[in-house]
Amino acid sequence: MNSALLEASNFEGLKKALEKTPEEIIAIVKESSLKGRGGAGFPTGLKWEAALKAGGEGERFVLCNADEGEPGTFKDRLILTKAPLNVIEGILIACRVLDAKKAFIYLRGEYAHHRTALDRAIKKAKPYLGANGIDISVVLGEGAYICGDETAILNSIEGKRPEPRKKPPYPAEKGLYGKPTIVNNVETFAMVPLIFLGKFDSNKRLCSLSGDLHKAGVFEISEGKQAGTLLELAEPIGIPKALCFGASGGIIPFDPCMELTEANVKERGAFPGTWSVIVINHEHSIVELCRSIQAFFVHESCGYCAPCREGNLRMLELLEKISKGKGTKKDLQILRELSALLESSCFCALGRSAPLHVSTALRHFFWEFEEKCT
Amino acid sequence: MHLTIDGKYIECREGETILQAARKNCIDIPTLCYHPMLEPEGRCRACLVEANGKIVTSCDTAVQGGMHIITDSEKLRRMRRDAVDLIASSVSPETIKEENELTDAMKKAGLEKPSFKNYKKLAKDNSSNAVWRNNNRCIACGRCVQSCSSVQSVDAITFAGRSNEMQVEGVEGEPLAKTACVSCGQCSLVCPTNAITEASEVKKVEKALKEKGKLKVVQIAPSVRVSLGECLGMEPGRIVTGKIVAALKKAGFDVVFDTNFSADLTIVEESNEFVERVKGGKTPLFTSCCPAWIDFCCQFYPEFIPKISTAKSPQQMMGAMIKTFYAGKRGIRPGKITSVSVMPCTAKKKEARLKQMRASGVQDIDFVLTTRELAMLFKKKGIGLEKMSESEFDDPLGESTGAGAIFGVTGGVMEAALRTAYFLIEGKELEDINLKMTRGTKGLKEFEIEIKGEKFRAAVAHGLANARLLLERIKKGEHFHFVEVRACPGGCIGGGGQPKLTDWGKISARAEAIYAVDSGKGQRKSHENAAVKKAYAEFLGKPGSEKAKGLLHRSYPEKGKAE
Repeated sequence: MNSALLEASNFEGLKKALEKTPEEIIAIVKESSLKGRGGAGFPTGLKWEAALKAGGEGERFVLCNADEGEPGTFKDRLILTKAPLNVIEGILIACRVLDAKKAFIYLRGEYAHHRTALDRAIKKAKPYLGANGIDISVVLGEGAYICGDETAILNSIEGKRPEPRKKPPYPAEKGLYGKPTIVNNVETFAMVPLIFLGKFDSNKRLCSLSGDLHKAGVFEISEGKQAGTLLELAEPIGIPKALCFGASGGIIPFDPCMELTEANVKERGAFPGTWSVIVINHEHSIVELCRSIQAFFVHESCGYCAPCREGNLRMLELLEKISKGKGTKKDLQILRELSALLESSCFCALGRSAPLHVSTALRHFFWEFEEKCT
Repeated sequence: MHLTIDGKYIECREGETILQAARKNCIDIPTLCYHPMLEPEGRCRACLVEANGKIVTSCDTAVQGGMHIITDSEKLRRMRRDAVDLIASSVSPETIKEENELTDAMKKAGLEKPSFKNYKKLAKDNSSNAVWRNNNRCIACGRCVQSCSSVQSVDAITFAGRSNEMQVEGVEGEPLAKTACVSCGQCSLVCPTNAITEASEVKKVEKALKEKGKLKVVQIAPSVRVSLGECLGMEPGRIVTGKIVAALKKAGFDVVFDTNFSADLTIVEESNEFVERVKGGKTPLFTSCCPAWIDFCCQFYPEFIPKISTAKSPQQMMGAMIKTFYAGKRGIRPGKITSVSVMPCTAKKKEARLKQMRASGVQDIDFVLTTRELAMLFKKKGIGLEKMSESEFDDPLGESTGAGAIFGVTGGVMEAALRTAYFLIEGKELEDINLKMTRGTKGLKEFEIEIKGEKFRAAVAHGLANARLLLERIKKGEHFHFVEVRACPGGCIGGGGQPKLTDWGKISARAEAIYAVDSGKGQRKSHENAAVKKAYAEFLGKPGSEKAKGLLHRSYPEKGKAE
């Protein structure tokens, strides 16, 4: 695909940024309204500012989260192959802000084959690395979904069990080895040089489309685009019934006229996260979809907190029972109660969003569950 | 700073957690993974409250001025019950049939029985002869792992696997006996569901008590007399010495000796060794009474092994004396004696089984019970400690001084040893034998004492993480003459075999009781113990004699744990 978001900066963005002071860079990034593209959508400029202002002596770090593990999300993979240098430039600009000498790219284990492209990009950026005494290391993940969480990555790099850390303190204050650390997603870093070239448009972002489509892939969407228009580009197979935002974003009914904004998705109880949309057509059962997503969470829960560790398992048991036609109305009630517990009590954001697919499915597709229950 | 909890206006301090503020004001919030001696990790989520409209865990959320906190609402009660329900459903049914912290939390949450079917069918790890683990009872609260790592810096156990397959394991999946485990048992002390326990010997002791034709001898450690009461419903720090003696007799023991006697004996031997080492310029001298510390030193700091006193621990000195000196007095063979010890400690179980602890030709100590196990034995036998009258220890190994008593607390061995060493070097007694600088709960205590014009530097560490800090300093060249190390926080009164729910308040109460035992004694210096003097005159010769060396001293491996 072609998108202005993937246009090579060829070090031009970086050069412009390096002329600025850290404070100026932060002001420009803030001005751009760039928000994190890893799912949580925190304003990048504010994050950088917090890291710059964090006290304490010693080293500072920059960390690129390339552990793209959310099912149905693959836009970072495209960036890593098509515009890896833009990512490196973004990292170097962040290094400039913190005067950091060490940066890490935490690459999803399953993306090991993209490492060559990254290494090549790092090599190409050598004049800029050497001149500033910066070193960028690529660290390969080992296949844990939890490492999408920035604090779990910190533990992983430090050689500890990949479990999330309590926030606050945020990584900007106490990150890698307890030092202020800027952690951003691949797409976020890739946008930074574009800001300095005046080519960044905060209304545009990359969206991973998959599911019942003839042309699944990465598409550029702009805020407010209608769902129907977007899907047309990907040529749906059959009649779309629902949009599923990755595994953790929830499931909402497909409405061709719905404008794709965060507010509209949230209003329906879901969360767009990285805007990975799995299209579900009328041939698929939502109950079956939930069971399958639930099995994913049972496999991927890190085990740290009890609601996620035990609750996901019990939700899967219930969904399996319902899926087999052996469920009862009471089971649906328990399922609802458990998803409410997980949503408000899990230790980390991933745990809290794990039950979203069930709570939204029960809200929008309740009859599909009811039909299977006695 | 002020905040409101359930509409009640209360004062709180900066840095406090919501849970601490609530409990100070008698507002109870159920907890499971929280332990007052450890850092909150927020794993169980049973302590949910609402703070300014947001659901948070109260154990790890700091108070803020003006916060509005709700602990009691229908929604919160249901969530807390569901959280406890998920945990209760994950453990084996036997776990929720007994009294423990989980069943207590179930009661508080209004949960009669778990809603879901238990699924765990995991293998037990009974490889260690100090500590056993049954993961079917484990609720993954993380206390044991944190204790082993942060308090002890041993890191023998860790979480392995993920999701509902996550479990506590020996590092790299090894059975506990093959890890760096030093047998301190702090993991068993903090375990809320008895997933980790001492390697139980209650049944063996019950059986041994029924055995005919054997003389059943038992000894009790200094700290047991101030902690056992807690297991049986008494207030912390209650001194129950005489009652334990009477209860042990009722349980079927023929002879009850006092480990405080052999603590005095240890001090006489160790002080003597200290004086020799000072003369030979071979300081520092490290204390040797704590077997967990010895395992720690031998594995992590083998270069310091020659610095450890060769004096056996009081348990093993007593064990040797019972089956040699006392057996001779009674005119029976050592094999005809069953020797049991009651210890605050799980490492003593392992120590008793070391190959070299056979000074009498047979295993000197046959069985070791922890404080908790003794309470269990009394309960099983229907012996009510509270109602027992008081009895005296038997002769000739029952007499002790205050110096023997304070062995139970951190700094106590140092204090007792200095009382005697001062006398040996200076030729006269200390003016004030209350050496306050050795006392208190500070993790590392350092001080100087002048004896015969010479300044001696001493250090006391408890908790092996504190010991590690001290050893690193010594490694870098700092010099101390005398160092006391105890593996457990607070010393033996905070030992791995002590009553559950131990916290610093209870440790302090037990310490006060120990010092009360000391100050209540007519004799407070080990070298004044008449029974010890008599044992030397009749049997051992003099401190450090060949016979004393053979019976009361031990050797150490060059590296790694003793077998």
